[in-house]
Amino acid sequence: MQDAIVILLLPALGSLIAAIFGKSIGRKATAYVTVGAMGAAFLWTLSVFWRLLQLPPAQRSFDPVYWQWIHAGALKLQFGLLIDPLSTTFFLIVTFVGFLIHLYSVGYMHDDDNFQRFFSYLNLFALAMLLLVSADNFVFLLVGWGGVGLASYLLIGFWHTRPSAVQAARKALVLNVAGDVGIMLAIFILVTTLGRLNYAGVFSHVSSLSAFQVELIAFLLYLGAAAKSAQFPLHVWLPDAMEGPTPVSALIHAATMVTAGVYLVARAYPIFHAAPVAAEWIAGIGAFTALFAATIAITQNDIKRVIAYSTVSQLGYMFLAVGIGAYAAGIFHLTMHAFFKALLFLAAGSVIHAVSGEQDMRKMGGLKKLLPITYWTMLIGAASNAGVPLFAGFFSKDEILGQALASGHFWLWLVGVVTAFFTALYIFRLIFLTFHGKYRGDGHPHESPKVMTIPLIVLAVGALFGGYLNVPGAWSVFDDWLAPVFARYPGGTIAAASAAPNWGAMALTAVLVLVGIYVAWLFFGRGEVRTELPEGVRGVHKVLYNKYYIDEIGHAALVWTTDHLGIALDLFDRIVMDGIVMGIAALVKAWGEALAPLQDGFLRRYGLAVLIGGVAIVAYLTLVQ
Amino acid sequence: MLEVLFFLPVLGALLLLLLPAKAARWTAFGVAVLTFLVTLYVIPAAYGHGSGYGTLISVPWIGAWGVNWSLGLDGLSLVLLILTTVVSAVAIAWTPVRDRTYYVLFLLLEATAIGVFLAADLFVFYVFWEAMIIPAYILIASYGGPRRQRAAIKFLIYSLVPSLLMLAAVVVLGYEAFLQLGHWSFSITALSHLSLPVSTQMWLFAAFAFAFMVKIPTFPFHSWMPEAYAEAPAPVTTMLSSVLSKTALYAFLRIAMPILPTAAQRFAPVLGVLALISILYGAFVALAQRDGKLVIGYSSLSHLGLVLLGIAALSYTGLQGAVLQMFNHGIYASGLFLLFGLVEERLGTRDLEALGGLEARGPILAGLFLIAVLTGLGLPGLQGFAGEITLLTGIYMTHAVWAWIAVVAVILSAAYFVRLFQKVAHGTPRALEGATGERPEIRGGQIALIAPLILAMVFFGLYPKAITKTIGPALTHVSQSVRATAQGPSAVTSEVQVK
Repeated sequence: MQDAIVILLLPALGSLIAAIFGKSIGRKATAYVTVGAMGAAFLWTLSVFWRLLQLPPAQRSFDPVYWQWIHAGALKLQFGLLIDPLSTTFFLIVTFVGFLIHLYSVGYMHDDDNFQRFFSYLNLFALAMLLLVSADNFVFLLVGWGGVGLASYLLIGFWHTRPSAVQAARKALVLNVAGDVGIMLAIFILVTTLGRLNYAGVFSHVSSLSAFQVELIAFLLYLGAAAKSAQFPLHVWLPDAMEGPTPVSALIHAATMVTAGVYLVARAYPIFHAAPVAAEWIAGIGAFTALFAATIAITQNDIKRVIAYSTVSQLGYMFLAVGIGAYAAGIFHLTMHAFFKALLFLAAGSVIHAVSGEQDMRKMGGLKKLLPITYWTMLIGAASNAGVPLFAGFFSKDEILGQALASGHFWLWLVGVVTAFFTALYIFRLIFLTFHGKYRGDGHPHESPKVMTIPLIVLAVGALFGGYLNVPGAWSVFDDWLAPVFARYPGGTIAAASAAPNWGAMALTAVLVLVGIYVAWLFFGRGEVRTELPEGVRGVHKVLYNKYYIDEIGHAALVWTTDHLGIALDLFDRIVMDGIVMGIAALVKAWGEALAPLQDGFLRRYGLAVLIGGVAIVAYLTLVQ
Repeated sequence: MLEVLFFLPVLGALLLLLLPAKAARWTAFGVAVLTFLVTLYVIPAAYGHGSGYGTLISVPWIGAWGVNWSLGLDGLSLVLLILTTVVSAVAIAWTPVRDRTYYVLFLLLEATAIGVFLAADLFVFYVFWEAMIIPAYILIASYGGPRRQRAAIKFLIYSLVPSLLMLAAVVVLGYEAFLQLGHWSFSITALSHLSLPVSTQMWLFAAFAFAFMVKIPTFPFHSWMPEAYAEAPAPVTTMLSSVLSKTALYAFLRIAMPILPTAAQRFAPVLGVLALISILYGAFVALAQRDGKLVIGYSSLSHLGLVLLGIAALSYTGLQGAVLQMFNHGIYASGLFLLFGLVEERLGTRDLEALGGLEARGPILAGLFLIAVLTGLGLPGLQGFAGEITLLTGIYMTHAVWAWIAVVAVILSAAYFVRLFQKVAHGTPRALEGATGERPEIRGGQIALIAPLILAMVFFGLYPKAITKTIGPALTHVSQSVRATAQGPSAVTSEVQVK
């Protein structure tokens, strides 16, 4: 498996070529190189996948080591990759969905002046994401972690003449670095306590840590995970990240990067299993985030923001899963989400492309006839996202809810079920406002080119049929594939996983989803935009529309304070610190002038002074000793 | 060969005086490159057997005082010599100056810094330390911005006052050697074998530490820095921040700690607190600067504070991180100052509120600047991160609380560096046509000059072991000398942890 690194090197090379030679080889060649790099990486991943499948499940884990990174006292580390079903699953998602989104971008970014730069960044992102999910130690996890943060920053701020994009990029980077610091602190504790940083070494020694240490490490890792995966209250950067081009939203801010936090918790499950307080906290915040973001999504008018809040909400479900120990279920939902959410974003991009950049759904409507492929594929994505029975999202979300209930987390389950209703409501509101009724804009909408619609169709197939990998009561191909990863150390599975499906609970969720769609149809199905709200809900609507004012609160509490502390200390530096020194200088000068008469040029007097001084020093030294 | 390292730039400076002024820039560059090549050539000489110098040359100089012209090379000095010679070569050729004196002084500055890193005799060290101030002072005073005189005077006074105290300390050490060994000696190795009473150690250490902390600089002795950094031409600022600051940090490891180990232990908490203040203070003040050069300047105050904190943590890992980051900071700070200097040159201003839009007009310059910024903010995978994580790990091992506080600066670093980059590169182009009226793009020659620094930022991020294994033996020596005198159970536990 030494060759697995090729999967990382392909996009690395693509990125470099696009960055350095992009201008000279032109757009077309750049597109071939970068899209080709992703395609080749996908094929190579298939080869790795195939080779793993040939082996008995327990042996499907490789740890090829490449070079020693550092050896500085207690900190010593080799760079290696961990190739097992979990990392291979991510490889498959990143390279396959990544390839489709690269392809789509060729059409979407066709007229952009910085086409080459865009593809260089996309390949850079793929490199970092692949490293993140395949590093065999926490430091290189952090390298990938920082790398995806950088790519995200560069791509959010891609249209760098827009002040809002620049602002959003900065916000995303700083919040993500704050999360990185959590992982760094966890690393310090691991080095100090265990003297190890590679997963195998850490996970097999978790039992030698004290309960407090494990909880602390778990919380610190979760800080990183929550920042990257937009968990409340660190979610505020993600909706703003929609300032980036839409393919970026699909790839980075929906399908892959934002799920890195879920990956981290699943990967480090021996730690989280040993830290029950942190794990409960993760599940609780996850459930809360799911509901919280879903309620905001109902009121937003920007098509991308609705999907962005939907992503935050779905990430909440995934954290709910990994928090209660249902790791395989969490990864299953993550995988299905990668399909349907990438699909929703790309379809939204197709819509935005068609109506010449308009993102406000109030100025859309009636696009069903004009954009048939986009409509039908997006409808599949929406049904999957809402969890309509028999679509992919239904199977994966229900697995999470089922395990929450079976493992005794009734309240978390209830929040999840209620969220399912709101999910159906907001996503079908989006469908109805965008595609039904009459067109309310003033452009000439047209269907997107094939290079954009083909990825939609491929993703729609995944969003439609992906769920059949795990059918309750029948088979669980996906979970079985991941099983050896979670069997390696204690705590990888919960008893609930094997429990018989709770058909009643499933039916309840399904009914609520259908009711949600019906409510959406009642209010928005006729394609009218309601401008007048009933008296009773105006206040609630205002709070939701303004996202519970979390941005404003966070800004006042952190950004304002930090900036003003900086300004105050700057003034202090200029006035006080400099003033003291200049004051002393002035004093010395005055003193010097006062003593000037002593400097009369008599050598004997100088000699005497030197002598007295010397005697004083020698006397001091002798006396002290 | 060691003396060649020092004499080469000195002879080069003399040569410049004979050549026409037109040839000065590239001759100086040639001399600097040659010096760098000689440094590469002496690499094998840095490794000896055991933990002492790999190579030590010693010639009697002032016999009556026991002063020897003695130069030594080990892994620690080697790494900093490589830094010095690379940065000097890049900085000296960076901008054309129509005055050969500039290049003469620049080479002398390089030579004296090399001397500081090579000195194995405390007196020789002191001579170079003082000599270094003169070219630096004239470079600021003659080639700086409009307020250069004031900045230079401040730099001079700030450098001289602590130097006097340091001179007293040097003389006392020589005299102590006389008392204990029967003859005057300034050999650093010999001095580190003296047994000095704690009270003497304390004030000697204070005198050294004062001089060193001014030069780094560290809060509260940094107020010469903003003006000197702002007024000096970019290549000179680069030398101040990348090389001269390292001479001071190096001196802690080479002189203060081995010679005065007990005092180093007693003073460590004081150094640690001042370092912590520097880290946070520098970061907050950097956030509020409108002058882009001062954002980088205060970031250095903060980042070098972290290096000092790593030294004060007195763990072997912390020392490793400190030296690794000294090297790294030297590289990325050079990149930042030089590239931002180019931005200033092309657009005619350093005011962040007036800059903007570089990405559109000078994409290569913006791209290179971005890499330097990312290295500076500690992006994992690049050079700055490797140093940062080693430092903080080492600090965490002995002083977990320090690490918890210092880590805040990592977030602030991201905030001020991203702000710096965005103000320069993003937004609508404002001051696009500067004083020169030309396109704000880097030219081929300068790309070639900066390329080694950019490559180093990436290479040492992926392979920091290249540095850590080089400095290992020398640092084992330093940490052992401090720990050998340690008393009490805490020192024993720290030794166990280090192994």
